[in-house]
Amino acid sequence: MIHKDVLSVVENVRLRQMRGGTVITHAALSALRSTSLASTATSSKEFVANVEENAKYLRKIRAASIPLTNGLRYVVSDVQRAADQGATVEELKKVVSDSAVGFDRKLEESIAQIAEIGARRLKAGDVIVTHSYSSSVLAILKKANQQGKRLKVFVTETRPELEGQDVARELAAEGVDTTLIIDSAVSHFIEDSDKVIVGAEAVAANGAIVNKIGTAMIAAVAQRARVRVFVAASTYKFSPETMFGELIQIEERPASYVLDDKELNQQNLKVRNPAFDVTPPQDIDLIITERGVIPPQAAILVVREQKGPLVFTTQEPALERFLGKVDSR
Amino acid sequence: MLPDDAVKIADGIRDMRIRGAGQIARSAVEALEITARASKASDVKEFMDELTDASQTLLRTRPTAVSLPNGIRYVMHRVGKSAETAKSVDELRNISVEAAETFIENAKTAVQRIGEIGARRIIDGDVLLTHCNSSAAISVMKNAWASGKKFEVFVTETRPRFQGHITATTLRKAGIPVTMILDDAVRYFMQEVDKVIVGADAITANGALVNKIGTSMVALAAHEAKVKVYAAAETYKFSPETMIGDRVKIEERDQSEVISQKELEHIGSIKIRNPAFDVTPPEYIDLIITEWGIIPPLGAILILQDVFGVITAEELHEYQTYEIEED
Repeated sequence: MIHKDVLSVVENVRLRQMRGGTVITHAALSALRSTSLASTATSSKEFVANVEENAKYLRKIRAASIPLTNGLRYVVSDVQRAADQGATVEELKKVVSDSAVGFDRKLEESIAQIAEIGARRLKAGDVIVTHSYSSSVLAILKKANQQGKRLKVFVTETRPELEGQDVARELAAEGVDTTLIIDSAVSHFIEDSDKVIVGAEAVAANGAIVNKIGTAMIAAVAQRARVRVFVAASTYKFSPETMFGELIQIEERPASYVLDDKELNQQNLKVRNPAFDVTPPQDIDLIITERGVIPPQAAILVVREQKGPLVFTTQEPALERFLGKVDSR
Repeated sequence: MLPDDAVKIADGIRDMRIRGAGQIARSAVEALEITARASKASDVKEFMDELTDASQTLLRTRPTAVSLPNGIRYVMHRVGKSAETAKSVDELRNISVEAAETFIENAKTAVQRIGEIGARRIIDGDVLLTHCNSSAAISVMKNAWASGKKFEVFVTETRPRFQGHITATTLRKAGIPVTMILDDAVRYFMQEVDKVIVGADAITANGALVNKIGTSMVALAAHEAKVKVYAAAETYKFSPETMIGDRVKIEERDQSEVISQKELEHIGSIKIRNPAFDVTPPEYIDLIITEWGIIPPLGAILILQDVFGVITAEELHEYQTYEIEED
């Protein structure tokens, strides 16, 4: 049975009341935790099955969000291992709780570490372009600003949900010189810019990143203008599934985000509204993770170190073995 | 002093009752023709002074249109050249009227001619993509559709003013299947696209395209995916100033197009920049479709020479409306 906390997280994400993969992961893990603590399962087998069911359900709220998948995988694998070792339901509840809180904390700490590392790459006076809302990017910019490096930041409004306005608000509150532009204006201002910094919803095994629609075009424009493209992404955003050919799913959001009801439902008119796009590794200069800066081509090294079995996707024995082996190192 | 009918036209351009690059240029040239016909000048010099005054009045009506000074230049270049040898006011008057009528006739048919020529480049099954709202680009698509070719069109919404909505409505009413997408989604869909067709606000001497903000990103995404980029541009959109090194000024429009005052106050102390156009370099453009035929972007200089002749910097700057960037 899907617990009400799980349903409410799913509902909030559907209503777009939550932005950014980190925020969603946090909410999903909290829901998984409270659901499990409230479980009335009478056997550890039943308990594990419930946790798995809820985790699979939560994963679907944003299939493109890899920290979500990795976080759920992290918790489920801890629970499965504990159950295999004969833990009771009460003991398993504690395992879920500790594991969820632990992953959450790691994710949170990763942002502070990314901020520390990323800020070192910024110089006083740098002109930065950023797109969409990323906790990691904001942390880097705020950190550099606190270090006294005066930055100038171009923030795209980020159609259709305009989360760039939230980014602008947070930067303005920190006293950062912030200019809001429409997404299409990036190429006009790129010549005046030094660096593009974006977050990532997911990093694939080949170093491609999945991020908010429009990122791929900004990266292409920056590359042509010889402006550096940095991606701020914790290692929890790296997707093991992509090593075995799974494509990261790009969800399409409602047409009503693009056209209002009056304009919709006309003959000969369709709307396509993909939420994310894929930026190829050749358009990315480096990825800033909490463990250090890597070139996108080194993504495979990070993917190798993901923990836990493959419980959310098509069963792939090779990946199970691969991750199992790494896990036992 | 302009004759009454010419004053009416000047007012119409100023009040934006007369709109669209072609309409503005045609109307301004018509006002010049009316002035030439009504002139009671007793000698060639007086006639020239009257036309020059009229030109200046007309140029001041809309400081940012590229087509307006081009229309005036087209006529005044020809009249000015003949003034040196003209023996009578009537002779010069005829030259003025003829030049004006040629320009108007050409401008009137330009969009349709571009449509006919451009339509030949479209084949059955094509997937096209367009940005913003261009009558020339739409003419290409409508002509192709009317000739029985079946294709579909991705239309970008075109922030900040959503002119893509107008394009989508025009095309779907003509029966053409339209898919509306975000400006941000162009690279995402580019693999499905065969040809990009956009209009032009101006074409520079080196074949660069000045068009609605976002066009250069669309062209880059196309170029990278080896998708053809066509710019549909009437010859009065070509900018002769750029031949002598002037740069086309990129107008920045009001911030209210991007964000409301209320939302802005909620965000706090930030700036808004809202450039209306951007520049697409010639290397991302495969061809320019003009009413005189298809040219590669590097052929822009030929159009400029054919339309405006060998024109001096003084002459260019005399008949100039839109602000040239000081730099």
